[in-house]
Amino acid sequence: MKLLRLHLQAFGPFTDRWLDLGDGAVGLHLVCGPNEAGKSSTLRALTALRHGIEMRSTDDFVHDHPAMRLGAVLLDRDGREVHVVRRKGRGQTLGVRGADGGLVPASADLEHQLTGGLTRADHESLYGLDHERLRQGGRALLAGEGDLGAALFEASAGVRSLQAVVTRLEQEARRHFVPGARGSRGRINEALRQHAEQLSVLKDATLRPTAWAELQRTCDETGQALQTLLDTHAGLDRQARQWRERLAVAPLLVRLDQSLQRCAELADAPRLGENAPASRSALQASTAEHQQALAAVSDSVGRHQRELEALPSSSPVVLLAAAAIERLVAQGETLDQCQRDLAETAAEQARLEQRLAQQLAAIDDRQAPAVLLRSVPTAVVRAQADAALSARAEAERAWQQHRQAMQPRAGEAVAMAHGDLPAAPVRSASDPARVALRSACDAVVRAESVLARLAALPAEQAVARQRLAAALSELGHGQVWSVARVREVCPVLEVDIDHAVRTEDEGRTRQGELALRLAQIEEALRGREAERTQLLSQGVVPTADDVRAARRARDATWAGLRADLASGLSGVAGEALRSFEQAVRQADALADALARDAGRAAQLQALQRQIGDLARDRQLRQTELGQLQAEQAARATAWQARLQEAGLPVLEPKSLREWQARLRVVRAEADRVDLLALECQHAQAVADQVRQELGAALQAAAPAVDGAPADDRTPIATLLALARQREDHFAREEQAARTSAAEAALRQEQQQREQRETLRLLAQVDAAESALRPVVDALCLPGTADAVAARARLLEWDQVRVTSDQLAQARLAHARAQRVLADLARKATELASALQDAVPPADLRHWLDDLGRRLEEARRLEGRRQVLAQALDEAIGRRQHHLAALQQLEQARDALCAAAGVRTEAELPAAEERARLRREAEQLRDHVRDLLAQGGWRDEAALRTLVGDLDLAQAQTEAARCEQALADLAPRLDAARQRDEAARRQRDAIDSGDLAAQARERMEEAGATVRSGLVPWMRARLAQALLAQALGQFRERAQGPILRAASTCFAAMTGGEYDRLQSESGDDDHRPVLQIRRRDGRTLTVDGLSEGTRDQLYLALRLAALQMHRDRGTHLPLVLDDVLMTSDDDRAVRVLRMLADFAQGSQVLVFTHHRHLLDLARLSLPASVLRCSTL
Amino acid sequence: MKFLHAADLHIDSPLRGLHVRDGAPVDRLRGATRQAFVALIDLAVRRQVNLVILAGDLYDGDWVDFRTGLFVHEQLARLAPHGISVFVVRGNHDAESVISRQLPRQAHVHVFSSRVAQTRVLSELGVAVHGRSFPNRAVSEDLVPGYPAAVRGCFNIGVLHTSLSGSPDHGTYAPTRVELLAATGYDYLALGHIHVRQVVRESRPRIVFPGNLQGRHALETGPKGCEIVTVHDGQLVQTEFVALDVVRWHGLVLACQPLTDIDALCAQFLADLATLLAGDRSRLHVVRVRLRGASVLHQMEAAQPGVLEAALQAGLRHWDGPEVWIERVLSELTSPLDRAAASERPDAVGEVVRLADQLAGDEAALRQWALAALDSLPALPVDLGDARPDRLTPDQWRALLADAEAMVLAQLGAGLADSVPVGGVR
Repeated sequence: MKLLRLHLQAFGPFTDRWLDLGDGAVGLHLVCGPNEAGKSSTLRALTALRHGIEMRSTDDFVHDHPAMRLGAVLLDRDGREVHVVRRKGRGQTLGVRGADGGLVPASADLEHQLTGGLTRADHESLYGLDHERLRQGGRALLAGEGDLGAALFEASAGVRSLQAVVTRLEQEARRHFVPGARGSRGRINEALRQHAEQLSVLKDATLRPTAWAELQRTCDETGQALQTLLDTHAGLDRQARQWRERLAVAPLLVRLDQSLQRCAELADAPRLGENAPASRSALQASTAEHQQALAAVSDSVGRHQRELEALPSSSPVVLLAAAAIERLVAQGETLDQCQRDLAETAAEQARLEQRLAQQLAAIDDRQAPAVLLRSVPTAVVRAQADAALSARAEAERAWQQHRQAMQPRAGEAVAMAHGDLPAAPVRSASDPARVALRSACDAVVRAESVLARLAALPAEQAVARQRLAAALSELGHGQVWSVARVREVCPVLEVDIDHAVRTEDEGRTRQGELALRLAQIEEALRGREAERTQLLSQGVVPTADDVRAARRARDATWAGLRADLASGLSGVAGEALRSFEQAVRQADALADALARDAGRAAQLQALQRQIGDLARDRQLRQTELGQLQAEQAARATAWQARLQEAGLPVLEPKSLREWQARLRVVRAEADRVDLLALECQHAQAVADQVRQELGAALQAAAPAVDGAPADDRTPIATLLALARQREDHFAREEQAARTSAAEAALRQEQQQREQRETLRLLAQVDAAESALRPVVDALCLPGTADAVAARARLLEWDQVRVTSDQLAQARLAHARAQRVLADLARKATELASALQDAVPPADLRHWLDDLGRRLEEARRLEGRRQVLAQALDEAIGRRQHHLAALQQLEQARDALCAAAGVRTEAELPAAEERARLRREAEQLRDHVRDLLAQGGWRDEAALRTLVGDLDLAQAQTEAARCEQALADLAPRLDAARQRDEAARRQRDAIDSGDLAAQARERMEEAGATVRSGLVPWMRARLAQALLAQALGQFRERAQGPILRAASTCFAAMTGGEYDRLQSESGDDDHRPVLQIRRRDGRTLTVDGLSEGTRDQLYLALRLAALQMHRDRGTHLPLVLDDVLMTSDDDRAVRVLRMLADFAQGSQVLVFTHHRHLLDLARLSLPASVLRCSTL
Repeated sequence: MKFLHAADLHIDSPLRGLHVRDGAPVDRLRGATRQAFVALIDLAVRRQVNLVILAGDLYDGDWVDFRTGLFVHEQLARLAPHGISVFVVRGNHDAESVISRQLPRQAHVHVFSSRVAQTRVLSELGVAVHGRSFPNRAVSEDLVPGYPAAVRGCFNIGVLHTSLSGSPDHGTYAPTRVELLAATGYDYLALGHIHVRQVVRESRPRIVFPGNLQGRHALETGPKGCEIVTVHDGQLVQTEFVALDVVRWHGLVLACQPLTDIDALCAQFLADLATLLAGDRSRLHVVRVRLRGASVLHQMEAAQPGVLEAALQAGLRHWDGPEVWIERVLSELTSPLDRAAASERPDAVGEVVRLADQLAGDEAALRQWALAALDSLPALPVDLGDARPDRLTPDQWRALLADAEAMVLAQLGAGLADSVPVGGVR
């Protein structure tokens, strides 16, 4: 696919702009544009044409997103011209313009041709290269220290820096896990540390059931002891209380009897309340106060009635119309303003009418103003006029721009001369002999690494064989090992060896533990037996077991005896009776002895039980030890059998692990020997084939140039040099012929295109002029008026429209003022009628002021009358209140006399005194009874019984004894309480807390973090491994063709200064390194190149990699932007020549803002291979 | 009469699969099973139920820490002053032989025997409760035929820990059939073992799995709680499910096919989240997000691992709904990259794709190659042994390889669609 013309219809700063990229015959196109000319927009347009206009494109500063359009004329793979249009939007946005000018959606095949099946990013990486990217490529070569794999990888895929990619992958992996780190440098490291910590916390926080049971038991014991002491304390306390009660009750009973006698003496006194004298005094004082107040209020009533009668009457008519009067007075305040507005609007009307008349006269003084006003242009007419004037100006500007662009090339057309086409035919690039020759050379270059390996392989094979022999001898163990036997051996899995080692270690550890335990048991046994011997040395002591055994024997004898007696065997009864008596005596004697020496007996009993337990424990341990040894022997036998069956030497697991490691070395060495043999065989076959192909190709091309024939002994390097020399000769001839033929065609086509453009622009100017005529007529201008006059007339009509609008506004304001004055006069007349006054005067201002004053006076009189009436009502109310209060006081005095049982008020004090004496006697009686009741002991009768004939001295002695006993008990009680409290506190300290559960939760969280971190870590690590292996494989596969193609390009760019790129092993890690050979045969690495040369090297590698894509049938235009910035003029010319050669395969577009590069290109390249454009 | 039915409390079993990041609500997440159990006791007291029935798996296993038993003992003791009786059967996790520790018996708590099915009649309530505990973890026989006959004149409740006729997510224990349960003549069968609430039969008898009390991992989603059943005159008149979980798990699947950038992803996530949670602000919601579909988001994730999760976390800052914690974001996205076309490319990109294809085609070689690349990983603790790389299946290796390939291609900037930013590549 080739791009013939790019149509920047509406994109970035461009509007309907065409960029001509030739007819497809010329491959290299140089586009020059100064800063701000739109070079970057054009580059983005090329991408947008293929992959669509981005949804958030920033090239919308002239044309809005919906209006953005791009177009192009393409030459498809079948050689047909296709006009495509790309619009902004979603989905299918590429259309093909048909013969009728309509758009139809583009086919998928056409889209595929346009994109080459690549995404936008891939396309930009592979087929786009700008100055920045070129510099980065050069720097990446330096940063990679010439690593060949990295250089080829970066160049082939357009990767900016493989080193950066590797670093990012490494960082991603280390973000999750850092091998060997114990700290918190990676998420997994941190989680593993947390996991271990929480495991420790869990162990510490776990509460064992035995510990809890022990605390519970202690708590129960202390609680029981405390309860016993509390019971004792309660008993003593009860006794003490009883004695204290008797001592306290006796004097109270005496006082109670005395108060009862006094109450009986005052039984006839009246029952009056404590406040009866105070109530009587208050009643008398209130009566006097009310009588004085009644006299004062009666005076006030008389005074208010007199003032009310003396007050003049108010005007009720004025008060009824008060609201209307207030509204009218308020409206009257605007009277002056309305009169002023009326005068001003009248003057404004006159001024505007005069200005309108002047403006209309300036447009046309022959017609009446009213007629002219009907001709004011409407908004539609005005918009049409603006559009026509703008179109006329745009057409004129385009024509002027085209004329200026054509001027510099006017002289070139005259000086154009026609050259003769080369007479002699030349071999083209597609000539079968040349194709075969190039193919044979490519095959040699591809096989370059193979040939180098062929030279180095014999030495490597010898070394590998020696290492294999040495490794075989190291296997040893009294056997002769061969490669075949080594391959037959079936090694034991590492996990099985681990298991065997672990099992063996565990068995050994368990054996040690058992032996240690047995020794401890033996020692303990000896100790207990010694204690028993010492105990028995003080005399025989029966134990409880002995007593129980004797009693069982006694009971058994009795059972036998009873059975004999029941069966009637009298003969044996005597002996049985003696035996029974003996057993009874024995049992009784043992029981007596046990009772006498119970302490030693218990000690002996405990010792015997301990000895028995230890003996049983020893027996168990010995049994377990025997089983363990048997298991170990069985395992050892099985292990040996397994090794023999697998063909392995009989070794211990750990030794076998080491031996198997040596076995792996032997197998690896054997594999390497086999591999080298195969590689040698393959390399020899490749060398024979390429030599044969190269010789045949040279023979086929021999008639073309002179040269000596080759034979089978000729070195491949010599044949290769000869072939390249011949190919260069053919290429130079072909280049010269193609250049001269293309120049003429190019100039002719340029002229024709410029003439077509001139005619189109002139037609456009005429059309705009014609469109302007109707507008001139509509503006009342003569037919000869130009665009300037039309714009002036438009301004005049705008002024007329403004003045007319202002006049209408003034008329409206005048009418509004007149309406306000009339309304005020009508309302004044209506109010005067309502007040029964005369008709108001024309000037309403004085009449309205008088009306306001009348309303104010009427309101004042009415207010005063209301105040006096209210005061009179209040005084009458107070007089009624005092009269009622005096009546109530008289009733209260009568009630007091009745309660005291007297007839007059004067007898009340004596009765009140007797009532007080009776009340005090009863209070004393009740107080004593309350004291007795407060003790809460018993009722009165029970207390009298309790006291009875109490001996006070004895009672005091008994009470003191109880108190002393309680005092003695108190410290013991406190101690027991403290012990119980401590025990309970200790038990309660073990709560149902979830410390251990939380530790488990945290362990689980840490484990989850490890699990979740493992996947991304593994992904990153596998990505690293995948990239590393792909890098190696790509280097192996591609280094031949790419290095050869890049060598050619780089040599062309540097004028042969560097004639070859080659691969060499690095010093340290044998990593292949890119080396550059100078013309004089010396080699250097990339760090020996200058910056500019490194950039050119990167460009050569990129072009060589693109050649691989071409070989696969992908021919997309290559777009280069300012890639010659770091090249001097000589190098720039050579790069352009090389690009012209490269462009024979597919289109190359070079963008630059350096105009001198255009001159250099034109001078150094034939016109047939170069096309230049400016933006 | 009112009773409460719960099961599968698994007290003190940790919530699984939580990898706690900075800012995670750890205090809310830890001890969730305890908090839910406390809420259950509170509910029983507040609603004045007469019985609490716990149908197995009260504990997750033998008490590692004795405090687990003390805690349950303490909580059950709160029911005694309110006259609430507790009936417990042991399940496969807390079978008779599994729980080796003992605490003093509580008068109001009855644990059914593991040797024979028992009946407890509460004549004052008109209720008979039948049940049998698991003697050991593996009970393969049907226990229902051994259950006593229904007591005439009582409301009969059968308590049983069973897998019924089997469930793909749970082991088979004490299997039985619905027909057999119906033939017992009981009025209500309080089952346990299945962690998802399930009303097996609506009535005559009503058979219910209440589900577990607190979801413990991302697969136990949705509301978790207990049943409250009201009985009047010997007839079941009302049932009610009460959610008691303090932390609720959710699974949210986001269809990313049409999404082209991070903003759209966040907007979609918040919209779906609002629908999922329906404004429930009463508890913490833990959400596991799965991203699915062929989308350019796949390349974003491959180029910058973790970027999608970070974006969703950041999106939550603008969320004013219920409290949410994103437990994990699983990317199940597929790449829109045309691998067939990529493998045809002669350049380095094609080399990577072809190498990945070659490795994926040979399981043994892939495993050996991958283990060699991961040999720097140290030995993991015993309880994490299943996470070791050598335990991965061939399918998991292939999935990892595909992810690694996508990561490499994304880092190389290959095959990226529009609007995919790649740091330092483009």
